[in-house]
Amino acid sequence: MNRSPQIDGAQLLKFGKRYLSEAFPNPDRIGCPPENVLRASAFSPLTADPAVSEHLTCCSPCFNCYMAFLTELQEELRQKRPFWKEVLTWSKTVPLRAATVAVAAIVLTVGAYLAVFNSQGPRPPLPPQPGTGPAPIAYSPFIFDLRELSPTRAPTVKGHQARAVDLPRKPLDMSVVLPIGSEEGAYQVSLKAKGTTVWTERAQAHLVEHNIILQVKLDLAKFPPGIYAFEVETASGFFLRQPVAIQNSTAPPEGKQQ
Amino acid sequence: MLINAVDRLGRRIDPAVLAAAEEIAPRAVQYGEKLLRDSALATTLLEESAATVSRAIALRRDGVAGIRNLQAYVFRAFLRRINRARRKDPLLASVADAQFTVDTGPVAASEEFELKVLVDELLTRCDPVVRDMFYRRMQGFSWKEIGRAHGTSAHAAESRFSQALRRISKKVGIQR
Repeated sequence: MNRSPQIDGAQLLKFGKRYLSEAFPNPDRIGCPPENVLRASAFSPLTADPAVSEHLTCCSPCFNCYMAFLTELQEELRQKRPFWKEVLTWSKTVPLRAATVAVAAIVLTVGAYLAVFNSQGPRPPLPPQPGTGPAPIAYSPFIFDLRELSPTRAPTVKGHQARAVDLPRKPLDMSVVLPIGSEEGAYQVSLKAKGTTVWTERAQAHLVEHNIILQVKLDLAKFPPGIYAFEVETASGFFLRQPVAIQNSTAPPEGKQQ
Repeated sequence: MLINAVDRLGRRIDPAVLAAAEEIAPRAVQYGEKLLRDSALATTLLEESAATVSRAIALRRDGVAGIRNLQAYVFRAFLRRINRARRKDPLLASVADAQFTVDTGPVAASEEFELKVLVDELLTRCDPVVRDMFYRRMQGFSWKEIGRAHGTSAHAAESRFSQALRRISKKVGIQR
């Protein structure tokens, strides 16, 4: 038997992914955990159930699902990364191409500079003109109190829906007050119209004067007036939904405007 | 009932383990048949794995309750038994090699089988943290991202995974 072959890491990873994604079909999904548990494991492995990780070793559908959640997480992490970090990473992974681009950029800049100054000579600087360039968005401070959405032990009345809270149709710097008992940490905040996510953002919740506050900037002027669902959730399964009505009205909204 | 309550060597299978083995039997036998081209042999190996797991559980103080995922445990024991049977028997080895020549590119069939053994052993022997690091690495995560997910530094994460891989490679006789 041929023992002790040489194996490199890249080969192992490539093979491992192909092997685990194909070798263990489970059409009846026997013993599979629910999708939200897989998602929670991918997003917060520190609090994940080790049994899920074990199950992934012998179930290709769950393994593929887990990989899809990891891809989602990876995209989220990459979107958060600043532009200059992306450039640095790119220059490390493809140094020759990065160097070529850098040299080309320098040559073009110097060429353009020389061309302008040789043809016309140096110009006096133009005075700054008001009204040019995009104006910065002015966010109005707004307190959005969700403390009444605390989960209760009492059974919910069928058909009962929380009343929509009015929100002014303008850029808001929202301080979302989470229900008592909520924890500090990362939350996913979304705005949905008829089940479709029209805006989403990850935000950190902090304890401020005995309240858990989530700070998000949301430009509501972008969305047409109507009924939306404002949702707050965590990877560990915490979930809140508050219907909101985005209104053009000049009257003050129900939320507390600071 | 695909699985007997007693294996080929006359060892009894614990009822809980037998139930778990029965549940995974269709998938496990299908997997074994694909690899060994013999469903009867695959079933026998599954019974032997179940008997071995029963014996291991009987030696534990907490019994079955201490096993997080009994089905996965039996399945992985079965995979290891198939790998060992294949390594011991040259005839099985040739069958398994023939099975692994599909879409392997420049990698030789026997080398690919060694990769399979290494992956199986890594997933069976390492702890859940290292296992999750392996999943994330396969998905293209950097060590920095993996370290952050597990609340440690990039270097510590890489070191922990490399040590586990080195230890298991040494055990199964694969050079890295």
